[in-house]
Amino acid sequence: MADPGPAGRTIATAESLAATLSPLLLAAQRLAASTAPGRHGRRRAGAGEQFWQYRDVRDGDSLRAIDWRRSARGDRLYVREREWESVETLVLDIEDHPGMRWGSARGRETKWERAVLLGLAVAALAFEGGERVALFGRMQPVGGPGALARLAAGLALPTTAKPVAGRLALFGDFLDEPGLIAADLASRGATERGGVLVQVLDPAECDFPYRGRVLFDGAASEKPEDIARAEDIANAYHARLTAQRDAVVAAAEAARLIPIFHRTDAPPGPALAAIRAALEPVA
Amino acid sequence: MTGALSFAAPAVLAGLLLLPALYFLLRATPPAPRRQVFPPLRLLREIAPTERSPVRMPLWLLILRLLVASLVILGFAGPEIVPPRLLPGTGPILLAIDNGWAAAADFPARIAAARRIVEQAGRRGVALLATAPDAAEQKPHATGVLTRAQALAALGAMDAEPWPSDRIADLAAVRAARTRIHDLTGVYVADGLAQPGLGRFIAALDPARIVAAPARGIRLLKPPRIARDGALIARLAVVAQRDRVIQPVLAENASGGALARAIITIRPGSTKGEARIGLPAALANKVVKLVLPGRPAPGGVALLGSGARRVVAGLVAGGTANPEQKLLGALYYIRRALPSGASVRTGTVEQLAESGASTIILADVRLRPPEIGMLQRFMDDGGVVIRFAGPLTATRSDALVPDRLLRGVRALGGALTTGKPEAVAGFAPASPLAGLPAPKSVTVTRQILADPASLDPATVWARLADGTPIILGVRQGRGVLADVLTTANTAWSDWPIAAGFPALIGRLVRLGMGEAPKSGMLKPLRALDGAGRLVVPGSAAQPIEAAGLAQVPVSPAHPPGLWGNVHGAVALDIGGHVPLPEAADYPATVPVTGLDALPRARRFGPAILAAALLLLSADLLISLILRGALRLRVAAIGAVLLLAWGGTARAGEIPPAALATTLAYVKTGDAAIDSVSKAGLAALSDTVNQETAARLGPPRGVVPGTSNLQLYPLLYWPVTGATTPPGKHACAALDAFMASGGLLVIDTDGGGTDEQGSGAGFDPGAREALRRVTACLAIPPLKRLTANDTLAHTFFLTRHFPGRFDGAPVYIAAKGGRDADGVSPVVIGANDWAGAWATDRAGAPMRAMLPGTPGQRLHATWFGINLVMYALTGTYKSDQVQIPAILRRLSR
Repeated sequence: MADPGPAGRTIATAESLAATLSPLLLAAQRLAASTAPGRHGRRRAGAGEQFWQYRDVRDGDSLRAIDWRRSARGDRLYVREREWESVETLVLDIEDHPGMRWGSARGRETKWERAVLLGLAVAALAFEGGERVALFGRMQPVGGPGALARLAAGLALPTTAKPVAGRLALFGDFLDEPGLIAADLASRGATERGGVLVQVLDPAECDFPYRGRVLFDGAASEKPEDIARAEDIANAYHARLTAQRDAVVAAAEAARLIPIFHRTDAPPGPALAAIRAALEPVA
Repeated sequence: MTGALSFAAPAVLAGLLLLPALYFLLRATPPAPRRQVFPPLRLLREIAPTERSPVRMPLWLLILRLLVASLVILGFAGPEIVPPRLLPGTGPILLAIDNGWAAAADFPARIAAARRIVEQAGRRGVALLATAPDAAEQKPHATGVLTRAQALAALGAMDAEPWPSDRIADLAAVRAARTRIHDLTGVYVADGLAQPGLGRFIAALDPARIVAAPARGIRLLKPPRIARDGALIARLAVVAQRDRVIQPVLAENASGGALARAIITIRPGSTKGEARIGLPAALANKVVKLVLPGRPAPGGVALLGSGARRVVAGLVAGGTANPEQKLLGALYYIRRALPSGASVRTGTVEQLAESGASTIILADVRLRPPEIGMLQRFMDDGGVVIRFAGPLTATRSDALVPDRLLRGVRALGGALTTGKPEAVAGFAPASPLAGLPAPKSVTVTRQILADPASLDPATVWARLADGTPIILGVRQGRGVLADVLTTANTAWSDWPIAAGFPALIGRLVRLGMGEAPKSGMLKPLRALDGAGRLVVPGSAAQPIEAAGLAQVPVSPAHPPGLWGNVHGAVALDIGGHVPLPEAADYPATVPVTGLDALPRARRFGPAILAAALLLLSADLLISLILRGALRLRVAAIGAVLLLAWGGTARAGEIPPAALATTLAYVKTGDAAIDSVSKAGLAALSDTVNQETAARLGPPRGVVPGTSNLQLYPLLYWPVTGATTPPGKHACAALDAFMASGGLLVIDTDGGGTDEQGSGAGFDPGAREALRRVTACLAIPPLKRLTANDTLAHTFFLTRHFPGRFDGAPVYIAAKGGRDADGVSPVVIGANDWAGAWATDRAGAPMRAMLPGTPGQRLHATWFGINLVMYALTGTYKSDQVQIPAILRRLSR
C-alpha cells in the first residue's frame, strides 16, 4: 500500500476520532439533559420574550413600556419587564496531545475523552440556552439545530480558524510548566474573555499508586525515568503535584478564569454543574 | 562404615570458577523494571535525585543468587559418600545366592542384599549362581558375566524354591565357572543352614564376603501329630539358640481362613517345641494345614493330607439273617444311603480294616476283642467306625462304644409298654452333626440306652424329643467312632426310610481324616512353591512308591505338597523330609555381614538440587515483590492463608465421624479382636451402603470415656473372657451413650460348654466377663429377642440372628426399658456377629462359620443391617403397622 499522504492520514485520524466522538456525543447530550432540563433564562430583566416581572414606572420609561392592562386594575402605573436573554458565544478549547490520550487503567476513560464529554455537555447546555459555541482555533461559532453534532465533528479539524470572541471553556491536564501555562492563557486573551479552566487528571496521576522498580515513560517519545522504588518517591511526587495544581489555579485566577479540578474517576455530573455555574454571567 | 566424600562428576565443579564472573554480571544487571507510561513525567524529573533510590541489585539478593548458582553446580557434581570397597580384586564377581527353603522366609531381603552387591560390583560384571535346582530339575549353574542392568533383572526374576540347595551341584557349578571365567571374586549370600558339602562348596567359591541372616531366624514346621483325643499337635524345629523362641501358628481351612491360633514356645537351648490346637470336632475337621503367620514360606506350612478324600465303605452285618434282603436286611438301607461314588465292600472286620476302607459300618455286630483292637488302630489312622444297635448288641455291649451303655432295650409305644414312640429332636450344635436338619416325623420305638450316670454330654450327638441320647460319638485318634442306638433297618425306628437319612450317613462317613494310601504309586496332586502356596506340580515331579514316601528327600523330583492316588492323599512336608536345621559354620577368615548391614552409598546431589530449586522459587517471589508486581502484604496474607489451611488440615477440628454417619466399636486392646471388629463393621457398612438408603462412613474404634461417643449411632463391643471391666468414666460414658439414643451391641465370641448355640465351648469365661463388664452399666431389664420384635424386621425379615455361631439367645431390653418409645438401648448376644461380617481386603470372609449351614453368613449380614437400621430409625418400622389405620382415619 502506498503512503496515503498527509491529507489521507488526517482523514483517517478524523474518521477514528469520529468513531470515538459519536458515543461521546450521545453521552454528552444525556449528561446535559440530566443537568439542565429545558430552556433557561438569565434570571434577570432584559431583552427577551419571557415575562419577568412588573415594576413601578420610573422616570425615563417610555409610555410604550407601560402595561396598560395591568395598570388599569389599580391606581399605579406598571411597566412589564421581560427576562434578559442574551445570545453569547462560548469558546471551547480542549487540549489534545498524547498525554491527554492516556488512561491509567484498561477500560478507564482517557483524560481527553472525559474533557470532550464535559466540553460537549457544556456546549449542549449552551445550545439549549440559545447560545452559540465555537471551537478555539478550529471552528467559527455555530448554533441552532444540529449544532452539537457539527461541533463534535469540528473537534477533528486542524487548528486553522481565526480565534473568535466569547467566553472561554478550557479543558486540559495543565501539567506543563506554570510559566508556559500563563503565557498560553495570555495568548488566548483569557483576561478579556473570562470563563472556566477545567484541569482533568487521571487518578493515577493524583495518587501515584506505583510500587517497586518502575521505568516511567512519557506519553510522547521522551527519555524514560527509571525509579528503583516508586513508593519511596510518592510523597515527593504528591508535593510536586500539589505545587503544580496551585500554580495552575494561580495562573487561571490571574487570567480571570475560574479554575475547576476534575478526576476522571469522579462522576462527570457534579463537574458539569460546577462548570455551568461558573459560566453564568456575574450578576 | 563411612567413606570419604567424593563426586560423581567432579568436572562440573569447574563451574564454580565462573562464580566471580557471575558476580560481576549479576551486579551489573539490576532486576528488570516494569515499564509504565506516565504523562506527568516532568514532575518526576524535578524530584531530587537522592529521593530516587539507586538502581542496583541488593547485596542480599546477589548473595542469594550466587548461592543458588553454586548449589546447582554442586548438585550436578553429585557429591556422595561412598562406602569403602567391600570386594577386593578387579575381576568379575561370582555371586552365589542360596534360594532353598531356608532362604524363602526372608528372600526379598536377600535379593535386596544381592542388588547392593551388584551395585558395588559396578563395571566389573557379575556372574549369578542360584544354589537350588529349579522346578524343572535344572541343576544350579552360574550365568556368564552380566552387566549391572542384566544382573539386576536376573535377580528380580529369581525365586526361592521349596527344597534345599544342592551343594554337590553347586560345587560343580563353581568349578565350571572358575574354569570358564578368570579372576572371579566370590561373594556368598547364604541361608545360614548347615548342610553336607557346604564346607567344600565354600572352599571352592572362596568368597571374599558372606552375607547371611542369622540361622536363628529359620523356622521349620514339622508334620503335626494327632493326639488321642483328636487335637492337633503342631511341632516346630529351630536352630538351638540362647533366647526363648515364641512362635504363633495358625490352623487354616481350605480357603485360607484361620480357625485357631496357638503359640509354640521353645526353651533356650532346645530345638523343638509343640503346641496343642484343640478345636471342637466340627471345626477340627475343616483344618487342612498349619501355617506360620508372616511371610509365607514352604518351611512354615504343614499340610494335613486330608485334601482328597474318597469314601470307601466297608459294611458288616451281625447275625445270620441275609443282610441284603429287600426292605428287611440290616444293610439294605445303608447301601442306599451311602453317598454316590462311594465304593462299598463287604467282608469280615479283619478283611475290611486291612483293605483300605475309610469307613466301616457295623450293623448290630458283636465284636471280639482282637477285632476291637484292629478297629481302634483303624480309627487312630483316620478311619470312621459307625455302629448301629440291634437285638444282638443290646444284650451284651462290648468295649468299642463312645460312652457306657445300659443293657437291654428301651421299648416305646409297643403293645406291652406304656408311652408312645419318641421323635428325634435334633442334633447337638457342638457336634459334628450340627447343622443337619432335624429329621421330621421320625419316631423311634426301641433303642439302647446310654448310661445316664456316667454320660458325658459332649458325646451326645443327637437326642430324642424326651432328651434321651440316640446317637453317641467320639473322636478317636484321627478317626471317629459313632454309635447309633437304634437299628439300621426299620425294625426299631423309621429313621432309615426318612428323607434325612442319606445326609446323616454322608456326614458320618466323611468325618474321618481319610486313610493314607499304603501301597501303589503316588503322584503329586498339588505342590508347595517357594512362597508356601499350593500350585500345580512342576514338570520334573515324578511318581513314587507309597512305601518310599516317608524317606524320600524333598527335591524337584519329589516336591513337598499333597501326594496321592485313588486311595487318598498324603502330605509330603518339608519338615518331615529334611534334617533338623543346624547353624552353618563359616571359615573364620571370611567376613560375614548381616543382610541389611551392607553399607550403601549416600548421594547428596538430588537434595542439593532440591534446595537450589526452593531458593530459586524464593528468588522468583522476591523479584516479583521488588518489581511491585506482588504486594508484600498480599504475599504475606497468602502465606498465612496457606499455613492456616495446612494447619486446619492437620488439626482436623471437625471429627470425621461428625461428617458422615459412622459405626463404632470399642477398642479392646487386643489387636486381633479389634481388627476383626473393624473389618466386620467395615464390611457391614459397605453392605448397608449397597442395600439401603443409609450412607455410612468407615467405622472407627473408640475408647469409652475418652472418645466422644455421641457421634455414633451404634457401638459394637466385643467382650471376651479376657475383657476387663470398664472404669468409672467409661461406664458413665456408656450409660450416657445408651441414654441419649445410642445402640450398644455387646457380643461375645461363643461361651462356655454349657451354653446354648454352636459357639459353646469357644470362650468359657465369656459369661462371667459379660457379668463383670456390665455390672456398672445401667442395663434395663432384658428379654429374649424374638422374630416379633421390631429389631427382627427393621429392614430384612429375620427369624434367627446368627453370627459366626448360631443358636445362642439374643437379649434386648424388655418393653419400656428405657423410655416410652420402646427402642432397646442394648443388644446382647454370643454369636460373634463381627466375625461373620468380617471380610478381608479381597472381600473373602475372614472367619469360618460354625456350623456353617447354608445361608448362615447371609442371615448374619441381614441381622447386621437390621441392627444398623434399628439404631438409625428406632421403632419406625413398628409405626408402619399403624399406617392402614392412619390412612383410614385420613380418608374419613
